[in-house]
Amino acid sequence: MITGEAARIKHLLRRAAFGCRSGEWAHWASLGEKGTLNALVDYNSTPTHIPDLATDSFGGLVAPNDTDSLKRYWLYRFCETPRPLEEVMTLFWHDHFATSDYKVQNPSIEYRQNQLLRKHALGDFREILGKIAVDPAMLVWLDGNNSTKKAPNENFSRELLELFTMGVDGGYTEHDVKEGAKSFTGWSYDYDRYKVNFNSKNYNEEPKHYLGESGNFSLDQTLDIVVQQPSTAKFIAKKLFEFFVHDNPPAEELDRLSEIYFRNRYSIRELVRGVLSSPHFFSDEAAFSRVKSPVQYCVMMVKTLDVPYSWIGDMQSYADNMGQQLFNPPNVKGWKQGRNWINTNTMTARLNFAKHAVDQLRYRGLAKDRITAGLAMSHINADHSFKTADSAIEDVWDWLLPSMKLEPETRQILKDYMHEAAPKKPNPDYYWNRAPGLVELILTAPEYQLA
Amino acid sequence: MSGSTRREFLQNGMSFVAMGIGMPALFMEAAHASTARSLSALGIPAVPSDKILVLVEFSGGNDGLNTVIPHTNPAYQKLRPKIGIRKQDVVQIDGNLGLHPQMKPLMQLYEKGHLGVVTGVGYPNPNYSHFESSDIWQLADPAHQLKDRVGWVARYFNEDGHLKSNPLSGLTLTGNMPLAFNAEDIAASVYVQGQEDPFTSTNKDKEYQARLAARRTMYSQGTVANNHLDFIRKVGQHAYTNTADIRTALTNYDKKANKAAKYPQYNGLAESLESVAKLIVGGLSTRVYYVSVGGFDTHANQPGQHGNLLGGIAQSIVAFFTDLESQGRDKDVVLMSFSEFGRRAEENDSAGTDHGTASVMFVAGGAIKGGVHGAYPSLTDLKDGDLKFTTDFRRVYANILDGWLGSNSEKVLGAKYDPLGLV
Repeated sequence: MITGEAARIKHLLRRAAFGCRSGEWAHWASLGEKGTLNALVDYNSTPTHIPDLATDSFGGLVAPNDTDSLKRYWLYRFCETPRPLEEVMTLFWHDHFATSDYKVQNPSIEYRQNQLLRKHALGDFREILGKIAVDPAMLVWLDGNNSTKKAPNENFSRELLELFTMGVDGGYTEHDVKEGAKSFTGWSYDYDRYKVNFNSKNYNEEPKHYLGESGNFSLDQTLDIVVQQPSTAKFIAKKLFEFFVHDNPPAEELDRLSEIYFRNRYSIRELVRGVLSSPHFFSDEAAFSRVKSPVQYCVMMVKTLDVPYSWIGDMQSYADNMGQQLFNPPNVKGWKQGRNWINTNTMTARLNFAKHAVDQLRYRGLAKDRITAGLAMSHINADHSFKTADSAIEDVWDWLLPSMKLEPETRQILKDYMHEAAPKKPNPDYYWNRAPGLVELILTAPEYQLA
Repeated sequence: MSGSTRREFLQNGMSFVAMGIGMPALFMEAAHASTARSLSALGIPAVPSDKILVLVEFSGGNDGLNTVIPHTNPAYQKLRPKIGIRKQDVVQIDGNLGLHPQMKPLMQLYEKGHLGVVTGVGYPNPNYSHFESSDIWQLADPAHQLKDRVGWVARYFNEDGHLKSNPLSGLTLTGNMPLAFNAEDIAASVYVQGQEDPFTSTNKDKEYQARLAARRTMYSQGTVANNHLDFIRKVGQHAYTNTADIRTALTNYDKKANKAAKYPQYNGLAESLESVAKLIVGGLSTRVYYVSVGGFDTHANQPGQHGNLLGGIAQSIVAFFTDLESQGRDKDVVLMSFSEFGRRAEENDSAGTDHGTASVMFVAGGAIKGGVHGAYPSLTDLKDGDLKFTTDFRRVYANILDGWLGSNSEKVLGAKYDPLGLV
């Protein structure tokens, strides 16, 4: 179990906010565990100053015709938003309704989908489904754009059930896929006029037999049937639990969460609140059980070191090399999580990014400043810490990896590094000179890959 | 070798003793010095490098019916009035079958007898989900009998002590580890060019070197626990040892030799295969390479997209073997393509095709017995509009495992499959 309020809040922030800057900590600590959870979830009451893509320019950050700029813009939002859960949930939905640039090839409608997901990130799941079914990027991606009365295209109908709602074992059949496809006919995206059109002449009005019900269902009625399925509730609850807690949700927990889904009319806000307040949230099985996704890894690093986004440059190319190209997931199933993030190539990218982030402090002589602010979160005086290698190591480890065990071998490796060029009686200046290296070594430790 | 033994070596001031088989010895060597030498120079028997397999995944579901076309069959044009390939356009390979016109370059290999074309390839109880069907091919498990998710290539590696313990036995250039390589102890790595090395440097600054040494040591700590941390440490360590091996292989490659190859420009597969050729010729210890081409999920507007894909693939494969041949290595390499499923026999209303069943596999190499293998599926005796497969894909795997890689296909695949005669 993660015990102690400070440790528990930090765990919650790692999962739901991708970390926090040292300056924010006092605010969360004053709210306490429950207050922090509700403040994160009820973010609509937090004012936000992040400008919208269309109405602001960032000297190169914003360019709707350029996918690279889209990635940069979203990472900027992640690093600077006062509503971290809003971005985290937008990312969750981006992975869930995975739509890729390699086929859509139209950054402005990809961004439009991103805005849609953000607007409804903690909204009503039925509403999300209704909007995503006729979203331009989705129409292009799953061929809704080419689905006619005579030969309804099955792509969206299949992925709706297999990936977006009931799940592959949710109890639907091939026949349901074919029948459902009829309901999604008639839509198209007009590239020239930037408009989504519905042509009733192309709409298939045949009666449908869908998921055990019969009738001449419209698109809306079809989605009504899907969203009411118990397997839909379980599938979405399971995905959220796995995203925020750990990989093995107990059956009773999924039942409890399904009940929340139905009782609150498909409210994702209440479902997420239920997941984050799960009795399993602070369990041993949950603690540091997630391999950080590339975006989580980069954003957390930047916030922990309190580095402004603009100092980093090319964060998106590091995330790409780590295997997560925003706006371009590998396929409609999204990104494979967990250990799949870790291979020889992505490990190289992660370690290089950590060094790159710490270098930003090194170049500006700000390492001592950031460490001081970090240790102050736990009311530790940094100068006092850096009187000996042992206390420096312990306190900096505790700042960067609270609740994570420091193995004796790792402690020794860090100690050897701290003492490598030490004079007979090292003074604190000597240890402060080693401080950026100490931070970098901890940020590149195997343990730091976990959240 | 167990983690504790590794640690002992490190604590003894990295003193270096010739290791037993199966230890990534390069780690030790490179940890001590800044240059790496090949396994053989260190007195360790290298993995025999003369039988290499290159897997090419056609991702999305390749339409076999428009790739290898039964142009004399009248049912074909009836099924494909809009998107069918016209009889005068096919590149004939025998009296009844022809290749898609954009695959003409492959005839260079076909005419030499170095290209096997396997038709009607599939498996019982076809699955139409990209992900499920892809898993079936990667695990060689249509009946979902395997409880663990150990890939078929990983099971092949597991049969051999050398292969099992070499993190470079399998190498993918795709950026993600394919399920085919998946095992508890993954004997495979991912290689994507152009990244800085976080473990070694020629920068002589003492603090910097101390920092790098500390990092190398952190990643050399092994435990026997199979948790996330241990996995991350192992992969980090492999990232470190691979860099040295790959650097060596690339230095060995003679740049002048591949001028004749003419790889197509701006083509991802061509770039990957060119890298693979360099690594093979440079002497990397990898036994199975993995590359991928996407874009085959042609639900709409198939002709242009499918044609372009096939064209790039044909040119890339031919360039690859020309490259290898000019450096005397084409007989050491077999290339095998596969796809998670084919497409439906009848075209749809969007000038495309939906998910289907049986498709084709290409098997190329200097040692291959070329020609058409497997029977072409019937175009009239369909099941719910889909082709009935004639050749189980595990027969192709078994043929490669036994006849090329010298393995035991019955052990790897869990059953005996009739050989096809490809190799």
